[in-house]
Amino acid sequence: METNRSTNKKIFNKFLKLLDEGYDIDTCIEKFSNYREEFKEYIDIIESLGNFKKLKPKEEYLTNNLKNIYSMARIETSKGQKDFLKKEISLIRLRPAYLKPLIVFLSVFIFISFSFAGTVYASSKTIPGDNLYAVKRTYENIQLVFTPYNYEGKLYYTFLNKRLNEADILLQTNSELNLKIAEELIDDIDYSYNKCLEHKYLGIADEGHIKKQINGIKDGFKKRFRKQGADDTIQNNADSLSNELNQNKENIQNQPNQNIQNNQNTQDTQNMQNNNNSHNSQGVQNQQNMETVQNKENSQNIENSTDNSVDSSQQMGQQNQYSKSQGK
Amino acid sequence: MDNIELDFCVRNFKKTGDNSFFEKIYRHFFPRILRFTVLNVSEVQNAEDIASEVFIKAYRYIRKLNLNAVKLKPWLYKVARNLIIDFYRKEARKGKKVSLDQYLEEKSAADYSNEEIIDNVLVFKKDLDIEFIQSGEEKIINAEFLKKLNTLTEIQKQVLILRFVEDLDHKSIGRIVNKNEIAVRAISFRAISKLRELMK
Repeated sequence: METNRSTNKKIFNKFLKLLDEGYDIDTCIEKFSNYREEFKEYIDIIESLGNFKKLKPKEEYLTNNLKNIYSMARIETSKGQKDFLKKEISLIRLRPAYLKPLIVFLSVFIFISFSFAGTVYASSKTIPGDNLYAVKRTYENIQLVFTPYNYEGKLYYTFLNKRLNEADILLQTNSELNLKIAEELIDDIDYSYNKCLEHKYLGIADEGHIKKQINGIKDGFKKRFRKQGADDTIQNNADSLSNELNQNKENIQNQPNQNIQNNQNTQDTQNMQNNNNSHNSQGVQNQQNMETVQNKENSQNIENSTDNSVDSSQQMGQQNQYSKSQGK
Repeated sequence: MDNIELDFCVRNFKKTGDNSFFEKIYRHFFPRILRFTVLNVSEVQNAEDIASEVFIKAYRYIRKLNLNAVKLKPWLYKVARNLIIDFYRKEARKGKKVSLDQYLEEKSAADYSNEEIIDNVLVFKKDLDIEFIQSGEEKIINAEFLKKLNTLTEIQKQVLILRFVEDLDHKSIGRIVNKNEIAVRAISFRAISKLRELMK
């Protein structure tokens, strides 16, 4: 059955080839006379299919349809041209492929710029040592980059005033100052002052006034750090003292006669520590406290320490030696 | 119209854009394309629209594409076939009954007599305004045959129509239906064998 089918197929294809070459159906059938009956059925089908060739539209329909085709084609071509022009004019509007990344980029850009503006605004009232102070300075630097040389003087003048205000605020606060920050601030003040002079933005009266302010601020810082420096050294020495005393505890216990003196020494050190704490917390009232402490206690070392940190350290050294000798 | 004349028309239409050359091409090919679409699409109006659309595309693209007389014929049929596929897809989306097969199957399922089916074919003829076959006998044969033809698969039907109605060779048909020559031969033989069994 299968072989019959395949042979039929081959012969049928040969038969079709002959037909393609332009032979009549009768001559083709004659050539394959053994398969006459089978081919007759095939030929009937082919002829039935061939009958559809007679399916033809009327002449009127053809001409009318041609007119329609022309008009439609013209509309389509003009539409195509219009679309092309639109695409030329605005690529963004007509191409969603461009639109999506553009919207994303714009939204991110707007978000970043708004958040940057927000942080810049938030940083406008910061003082050195705050987290956002760096943002403020960066913004100022950016301002400087985009400002023409002629207007830089004005900008430096505003920066100078800002720095002076910051310095005032720093001096007014009671919290402990960082030496590095203060140094940087003073450097900045000097730099902007020099720049103002360079640009000849300051008048004579202004110059004198600002110079006075700067000097005042520098003095303020110096005083503040002198106090802080003294306090630090006192505390350091007091710590070392207490450590040494703890080391000598065993010896002291072995010599009960000298316990009273040791106790006195420890009392002294405790008082000194208390004084130190009061210095750190109260700032301006330090000196008064120290005087009252001095009146109450008989140790001369502490009295010296309030005047000069160097002197105090030396005297604390002497006190150490004294306590050691006592311990022995 | 032979290939030399067609080539001349295509070349001149490309060069000059003169509609008279296009008209010659249109008059030669439009009846064939219309016949092909009518045999493939159930409603005549749709078949006419598809055939017109093929020639709108031809008007636009003959000037742009590198077509000669040999390539033009399969190209037109391929465009028609693609548009028919698009049409079926759209109809399927709408949820309508789509092919002529289904249409006639429904008719036979509803126990319509042969005459009614012939009437349907006649209606289809009237709508199309086609000079159909003259004698009464041939009409019946064609209607019955059409019914049997529609029991074949789409591709078998298309291959048979292209081969024996439109007189295209297997290679060109292969290009149109996206198959190779051997596959097209096999399809046409299988389709004819099936029709033969149906005719018995």
